[in-house]
Amino acid sequence: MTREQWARVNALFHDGLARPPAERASWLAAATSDPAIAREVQALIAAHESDGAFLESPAVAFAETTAAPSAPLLIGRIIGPYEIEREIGRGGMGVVYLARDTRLGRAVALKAVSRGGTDAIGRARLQREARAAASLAHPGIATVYALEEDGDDCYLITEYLQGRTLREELGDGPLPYGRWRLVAIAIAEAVGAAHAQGLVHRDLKPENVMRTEGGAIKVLDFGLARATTPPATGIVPTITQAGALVGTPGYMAPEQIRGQPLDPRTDVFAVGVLLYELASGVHPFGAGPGSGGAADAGGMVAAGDVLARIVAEDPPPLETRSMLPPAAVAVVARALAKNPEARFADGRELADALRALPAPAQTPSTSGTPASGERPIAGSHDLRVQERWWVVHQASIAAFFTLVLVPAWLLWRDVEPKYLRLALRLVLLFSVAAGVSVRLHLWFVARYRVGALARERRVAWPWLVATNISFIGALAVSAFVLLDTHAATASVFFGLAVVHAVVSLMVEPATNRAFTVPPDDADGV
Amino acid sequence: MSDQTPDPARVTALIADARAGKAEALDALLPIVYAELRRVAGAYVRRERPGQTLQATGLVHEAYLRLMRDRNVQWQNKAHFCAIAANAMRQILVERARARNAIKRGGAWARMTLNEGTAAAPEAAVDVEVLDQALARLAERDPDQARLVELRYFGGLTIEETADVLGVSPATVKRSWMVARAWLKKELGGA
Repeated sequence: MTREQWARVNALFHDGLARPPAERASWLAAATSDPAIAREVQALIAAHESDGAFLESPAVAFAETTAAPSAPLLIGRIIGPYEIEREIGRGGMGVVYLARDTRLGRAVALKAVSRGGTDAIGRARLQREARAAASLAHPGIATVYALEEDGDDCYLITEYLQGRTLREELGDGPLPYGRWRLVAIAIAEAVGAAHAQGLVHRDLKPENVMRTEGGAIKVLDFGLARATTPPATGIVPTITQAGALVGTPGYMAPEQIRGQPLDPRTDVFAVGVLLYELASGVHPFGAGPGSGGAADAGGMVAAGDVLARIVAEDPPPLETRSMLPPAAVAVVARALAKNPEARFADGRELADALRALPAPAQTPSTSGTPASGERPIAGSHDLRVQERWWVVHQASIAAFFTLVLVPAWLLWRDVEPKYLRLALRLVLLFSVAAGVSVRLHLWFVARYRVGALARERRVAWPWLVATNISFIGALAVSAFVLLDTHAATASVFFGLAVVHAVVSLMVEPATNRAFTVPPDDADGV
Repeated sequence: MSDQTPDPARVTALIADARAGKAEALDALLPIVYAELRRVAGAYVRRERPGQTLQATGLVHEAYLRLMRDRNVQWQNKAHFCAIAANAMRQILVERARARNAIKRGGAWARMTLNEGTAAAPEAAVDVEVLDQALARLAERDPDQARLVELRYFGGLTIEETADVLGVSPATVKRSWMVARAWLKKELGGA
């Protein structure tokens, strides 16, 4: 059909639609002598009038039906010597499978890395990158075993690791300083080893770092990001072994966002974001977790804002969001410098800076060398001595409050006038109820969610002050009121008020400080 | 960073500055570009089916990276950018569909599952790969209509927005859209 014919079809289509259906056939026969045009107009009107919302919703609305290939298609299949057993993760770019190497009898992870029709150049690059990644022999990097080709499709075979990704670990809250330092060193060293071989990861994020069941830190997917990415840009969403759906742009360096050339310093930035997140539990540029589970429309809206913030804004100061010592905060800040020149040159330099940080003296998990990150890291309930003192302090005050309640309640029976008695009892009841619950809450947080403690303590602070003041006030006022009738009790109450004032003003801040600042720093080192 | 629609004149000015090599202009453009892509995926996000937002985020992100990669295709103005964004979205969706179809055709070993894409509405049954080919044929007889479909279907633009981008009246867009849609429906056997 020529363009002229098509223009005529268009005109007749609209004319025809304007007429009653019964008249259309005769009208059309009179309107055109070209049977091709008549046929086309008829077919178009029929298509138009058939029901349906064809193309009315934009294509992206159905993107999920065009996304990653469905898993069962490969299961049971044999690729090279690898027999695919089951799916262990999936994401925007495809699926990761657990497979068995039939020759060696070991379990491997298998990822389909082609996108249906990788062209010759893309394939050559993939091979080159896989070869480079396979040459990396470092305990902190998941080993690449092979690149299998099967028709148009390529499969990357890597070490099969069991454990949790840092994304999953982040769900438990931020890491305490000692553990943070060990994890940080392990990641930086692994990344640095790759940099020394001329490889840049380009897609470092919590989903791509795993803590194995043995406690080792492993960086996954080296060489994959670049291999599946057009040369000019940085990152394409890749899949991870844990199956987090990726595409969160929160770990891209400013130069990556601008489409500028990348080098090891791009990875340094990503590690900086990761370290910030591990220390504080929050993303420095406000990105939601990539694997947050339930969909939130906000995550989508935030993505562009996150990129804009990475390019233009400094993250909120880490010292207010974490319990890291100032030297560690400075290392993270330097890794997050907007200008690559101002960052550490590569992973190794970052690792050196991290190793130079003071190790928290009495953390059980820091004895021994942290170099390979092989040591299992202690559970969050292993508190340092200072932390134990702080816990004891909170528990004692809670007990003290509760114990005072009973004698005070009984002795105040004689307090006159009545409204004063009532007021004293109410105030005391408030201080004890609120004070005890807040302290028990903090104690619980310190024991089971130590990472969230800084935030919880900020929230609890006004309550603690209010309950302390009202407790001291109630005791002091009752001491004055009872002075004439029960001199001994009054002086005991007065004494307790003074003791608690001293405790709140001096002892509590001291135990708080001891808990917060690593001992090396507290000693002024 | 804000959700308000940016002033097209400002966007065009920024694009001109970015082309002149001003890094600040590119940085200022970034949230606007992203907002544009987000708008493209907007209908998708509004559905808020579990798990879809992440999928859409990945899609927008991929489109953004593609735009950055193709920066040598320089944006002339906001309308031109919309067209490029729609085209990027088309390429991504077609590539995904192609990969998927390739696997579906993969031979006797393939075990089809019936429950895949259960969340999709019946109207979703458009094979993007086939549509892409039909659209290429439409472009031979009427490039403007093909562009219009690209903007509407892959770019997610409304009739009014499409009219704005193409510089014609909404009524014209509506008429062309009716014909193009009917023709594609016929070609895809959807009638």
